[in-house]
Amino acid sequence: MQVKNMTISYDGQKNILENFSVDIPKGQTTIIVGANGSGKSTLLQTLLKRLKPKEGAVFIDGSDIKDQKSFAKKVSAVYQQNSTIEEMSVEELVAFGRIPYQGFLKRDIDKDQQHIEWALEQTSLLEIRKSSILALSGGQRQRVFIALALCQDTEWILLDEPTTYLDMYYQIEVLELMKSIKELKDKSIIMVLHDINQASAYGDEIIMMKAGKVLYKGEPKKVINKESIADIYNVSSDIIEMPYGKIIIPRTTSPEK
Amino acid sequence: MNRNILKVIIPIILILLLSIKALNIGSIELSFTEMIEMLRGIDDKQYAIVRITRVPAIFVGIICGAMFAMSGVLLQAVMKNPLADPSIIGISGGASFGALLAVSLFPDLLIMKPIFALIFGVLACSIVYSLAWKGALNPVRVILVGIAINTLFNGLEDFVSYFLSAGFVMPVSTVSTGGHTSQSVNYLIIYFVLALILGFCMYKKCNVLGLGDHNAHSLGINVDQTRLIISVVAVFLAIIPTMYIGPISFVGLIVPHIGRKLVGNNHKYLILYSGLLGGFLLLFADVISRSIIYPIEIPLDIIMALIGAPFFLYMIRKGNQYVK
Repeated sequence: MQVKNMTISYDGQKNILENFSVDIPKGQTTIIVGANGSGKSTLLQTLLKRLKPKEGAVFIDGSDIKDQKSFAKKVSAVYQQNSTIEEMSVEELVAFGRIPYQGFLKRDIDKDQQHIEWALEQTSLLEIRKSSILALSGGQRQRVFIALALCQDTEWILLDEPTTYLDMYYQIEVLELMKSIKELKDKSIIMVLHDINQASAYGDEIIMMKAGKVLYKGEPKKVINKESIADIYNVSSDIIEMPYGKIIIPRTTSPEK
Repeated sequence: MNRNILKVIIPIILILLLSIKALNIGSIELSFTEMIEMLRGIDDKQYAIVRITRVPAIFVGIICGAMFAMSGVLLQAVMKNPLADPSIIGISGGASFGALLAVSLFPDLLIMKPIFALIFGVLACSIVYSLAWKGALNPVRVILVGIAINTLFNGLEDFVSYFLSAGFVMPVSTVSTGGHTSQSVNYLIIYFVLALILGFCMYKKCNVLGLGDHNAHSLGINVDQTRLIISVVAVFLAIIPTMYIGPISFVGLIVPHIGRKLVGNNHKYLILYSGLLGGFLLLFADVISRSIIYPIEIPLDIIMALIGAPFFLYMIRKGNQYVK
């Protein structure tokens, strides 16, 4: 996925991204991090084509897909907060993922059902498929929305701070789930995360943003260091190397450079 | 018996009972066997009077109530606001101003009243949508503009009434299910069938919007276009009953809330179920308006407001979903 020469602003105000370009590799988990207001969520919205750019475009395999339904067959999304519909079962909600494949009178019921079953299975929701969404905890609900994205059968899955409102158990559950999905089905995943430690442990590639620009990009073990943390977050830190990634311990808000 | 079946059967039984009651309000009272004979079309002068005056009013009451309620469900889904109803997008204000204008400009041409109501209802909601459109359709902006436009048309209505009051006495309110021929009821039934089909076809779109704009967008849905399509159907659903009986706001406002309490927020059931409840509620109000101080018929909107407002307040006090 490529962003080329993108300029974006909200309601004609100051440009959040200006002449912005970035390449995001296929088949990997790319994690976007940055301080508040760094433009990381804007970048994700841009990749999802939710924002109209003043200039530039997003390309998937070299083509700029204009048709919204065709785009929804390539890219799905999971958000931090989701409204739900009362009295709807887990399965009914997951089935929404087939909408991009359905026309006014066109529907492949068997294929739709296959994808629903597969998505429920991957997310361990088979047992509670008939439960009402309202009866689920926040973590289970997030799993349902991941299942919905899987049911959409897209090559790319984009997640906007999917762990923000979850406790530690469900945070790890969501991240482990995304890891297994990527490995199993060769999906390409892009996530915006606030937690740099989680980004370090679960990212194949990390994009570190500040003021609408990519300051660092690459493998976490290469780009995460005291200097990059100081540049991005304006804090000094200690970094401990672990087999699964680096652990960053923030110390003060006045970094020593 | 299954609770869901009961939820459907009880309003149907109540509608039937109210219809029987409604058939018997007036100087002519029919026994049950006479009623059956009248419905079978047996020729009799008394039966003919009931057939011509009361049967159409019952159909008009049920169908208009159903359409107002379904319109309310769609508008609340589009605006994502529990206070949305046909008056919010200017239909009620526009249509009642149009009706008043028609009565004052062409006092002898009754046919002009529904036509003017239609024209001004559509005009008012077109103004609301075009002023609310700013690159995208923001529900809050629609509601704010809608309130302003509705107030404007209410003001215009008062203005015209004020100037006319010196010349001749205007009817205080003409909201009623009466005065329709069986032919105009036939047209209404056609509109209603179309409304049921169109309304039901909107259920998936309403549900997708219920997942939030961001999720709808990533499922390939053009959110603004979807809002516009549902709104057009909602306008159709509100304009037709406004043309037939006049503007009534409470049906579209409260029935969706009762429907949600009983069958939940899945629009697959909510749209049609609210139609059923709306039919019941308007017929109920109609029976009261005709019978409470018989032979005087109290305008339907007054009865609806008297029933609707306390009930709505009760729901707000009892429920906690509006004040999170």
